[in-house]
Amino acid sequence: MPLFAGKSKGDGTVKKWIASLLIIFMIAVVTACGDQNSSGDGETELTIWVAGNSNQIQDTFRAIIDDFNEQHESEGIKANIQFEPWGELDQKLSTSLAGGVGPDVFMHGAAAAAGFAAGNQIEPLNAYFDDWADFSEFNPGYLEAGSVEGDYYVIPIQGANRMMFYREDIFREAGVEVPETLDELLEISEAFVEKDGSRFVRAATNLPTEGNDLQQIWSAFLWSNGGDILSEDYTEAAINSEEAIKAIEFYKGFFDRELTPIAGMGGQGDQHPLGTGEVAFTFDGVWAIEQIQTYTPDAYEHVRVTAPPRGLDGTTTLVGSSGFFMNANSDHKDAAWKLMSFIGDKDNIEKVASELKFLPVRLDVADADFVQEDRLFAEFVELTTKVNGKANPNVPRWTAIRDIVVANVEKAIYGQLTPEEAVENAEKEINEEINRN
Amino acid sequence: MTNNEPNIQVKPPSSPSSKKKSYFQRNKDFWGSTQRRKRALAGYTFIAPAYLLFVIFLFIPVIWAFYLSFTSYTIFTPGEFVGIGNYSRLVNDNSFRTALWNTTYYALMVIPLNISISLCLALLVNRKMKGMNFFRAAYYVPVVTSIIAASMIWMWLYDSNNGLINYVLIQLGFNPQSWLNDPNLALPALAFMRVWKGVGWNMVIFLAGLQSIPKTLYEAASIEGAGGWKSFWKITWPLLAPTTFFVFVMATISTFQTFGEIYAMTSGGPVGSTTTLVYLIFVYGFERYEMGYAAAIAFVLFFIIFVLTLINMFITQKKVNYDL
Repeated sequence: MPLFAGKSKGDGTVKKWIASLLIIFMIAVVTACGDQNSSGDGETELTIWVAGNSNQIQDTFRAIIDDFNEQHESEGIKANIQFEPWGELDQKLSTSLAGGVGPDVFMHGAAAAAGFAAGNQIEPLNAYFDDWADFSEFNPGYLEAGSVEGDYYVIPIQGANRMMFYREDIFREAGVEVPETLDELLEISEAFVEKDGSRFVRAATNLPTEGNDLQQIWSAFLWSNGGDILSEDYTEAAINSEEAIKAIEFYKGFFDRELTPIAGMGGQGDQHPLGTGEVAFTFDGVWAIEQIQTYTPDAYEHVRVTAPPRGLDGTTTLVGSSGFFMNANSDHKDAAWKLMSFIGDKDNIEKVASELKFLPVRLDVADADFVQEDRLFAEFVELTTKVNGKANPNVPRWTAIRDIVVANVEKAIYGQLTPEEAVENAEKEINEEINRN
Repeated sequence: MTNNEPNIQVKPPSSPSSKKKSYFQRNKDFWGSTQRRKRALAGYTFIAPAYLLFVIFLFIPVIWAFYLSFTSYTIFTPGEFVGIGNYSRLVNDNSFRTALWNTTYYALMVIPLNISISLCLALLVNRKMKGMNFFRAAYYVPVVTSIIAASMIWMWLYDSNNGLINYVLIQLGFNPQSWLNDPNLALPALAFMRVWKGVGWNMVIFLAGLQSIPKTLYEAASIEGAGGWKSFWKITWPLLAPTTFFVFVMATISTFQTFGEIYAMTSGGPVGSTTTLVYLIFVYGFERYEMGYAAAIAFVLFFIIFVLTLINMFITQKKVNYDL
């Protein structure tokens, strides 16, 4: 019998039951969509997003959060952890923050600070830092990387500097040593290349031709030449310079001279190309160490790390970092700070650095035993204290500026623009972007 | 008129439509009946959840996005009303012009290939042969494959140093190609993958269209001496016109909305050669947070698809002339 047909007594009862069930269901849904941060018994629930979703990252941070929950149970604070892949972090975070349902604490690259701060989405931490003894233990460079106009916004968790990794056995076979200058590096690179017809069996290096990686590696060459992308006060482009042209010519030289394929030499699956011996050197972060150790352990003993060769004005490497930010719209800022300071204490930074091979962000962890136990890790950490480092400019329109730099350098690599045209074009577009309301 | 002339009164031809009540009258009659009102209420109640979802999650956001396209909204800031500022910015935006051309070029490669190959496949599998169901399923498998999984597989196939396609080319004595890293090859490579992914769906639609054509027409044509080629052009092709129209419209919409494989395989590169309009919307909206500008691009895309659909509807309606 159709649900709404008929008028028997029994039908009326059924209808009432269905209506009651529907109402209960809707109330339940509405209630569930309500305030999820309060459990109703006075407990404060925090949400924390961690960038990266590998098993190791999940294990390490879950253990830290479990520890936090155990220690703060008496205060009624409970943190729920969520892992977001780096590639999707920006989109998810920006939409959730804009929608007012963002996490109380989240991990992100320090360079994002200016953009979030301009949108009033992150909380300045100065007031919290004033009473925090651990503050002075953090590497000032990483704290600065996450500061905007004098305000600190981030508790660093991971350093992301880049150095030059190379295979000493391949260098030895080729009869060359790590040269002193970038120009010499380009000259000797031919000695590493092995080809089967037009297919690369081994390339000199692996250089990205797009995205963040291109900007990060190319910028280090630009800085090493003494140039920069923006003026010191960040009010205009400074990229239209001889130093930038030289940096493009150097970068492009690897492709023009067929020292590396334009499609890249990315290794096999999860294996690093240095581990497989497909390249002789790369400009990588500390993450390369674990990749080589895990997937090509036999190659580990042949891998060395050193400062990149000098440009026209010495050597400057990229200092990148990521850390934890506090949501400016969080309802539980004090509890969120307790969580952030807990993660930032010595034990937890040491745990994260030792288990995940994150570059230590605290000075008192930099010479810990676990750092010295791993030869490459120890060498890398030491280099970060010796080699001049520079972070990307922390400006609100950085993403757009970065895209402009990448697009123009890429066009020069592909021969669509000369290096001179590329820097001219980039200068014009960056200034338009800066001056856009 | 004179009296000698026969008094002929011409009555209009009697037709069912002349007796048909007006829409309003029918509406009034319908709602006048209590029983019908109850039945209608039941019907509306059943479709209410779907309509509610449609209005809340599609209709209102679309209207809101249209409003946003006239503002400088940036996700974190409400932005200001900028009039047609976003639309006039599009005119001078090189990345928009490139994306518009890429999208058009991509559609010109994908749509004709997709339709012709899927029609050929439908004709092939529209036979009674042993094992035909296997082929029908096999051609359909790419449709149900996740776009990201398919993209990963095609990235390996297209890998310039270790990919299968280049391996085969080298074995055959050809030069290997940088499929996804050559600005001239990347978009055609993505188009080829798109055709592979999409033909199965259109094949099924064409198959349904082919099976609805009465067999008697082919029998009559055969008796008259028409061959297979002539039968196709005189019977199959004209009678498939509504199906072709549907396939064309759907293929146009989906091709202009391509995003997944570009996001996964090329990120719009190299040098912007695979940046389509939808990918550009993503870049402006979710990487640079310029939602107002991204909304303006979205409405230009909507307008393009809308006009193409209208043109196609106009052309195809003229060709559908068999009243069976």
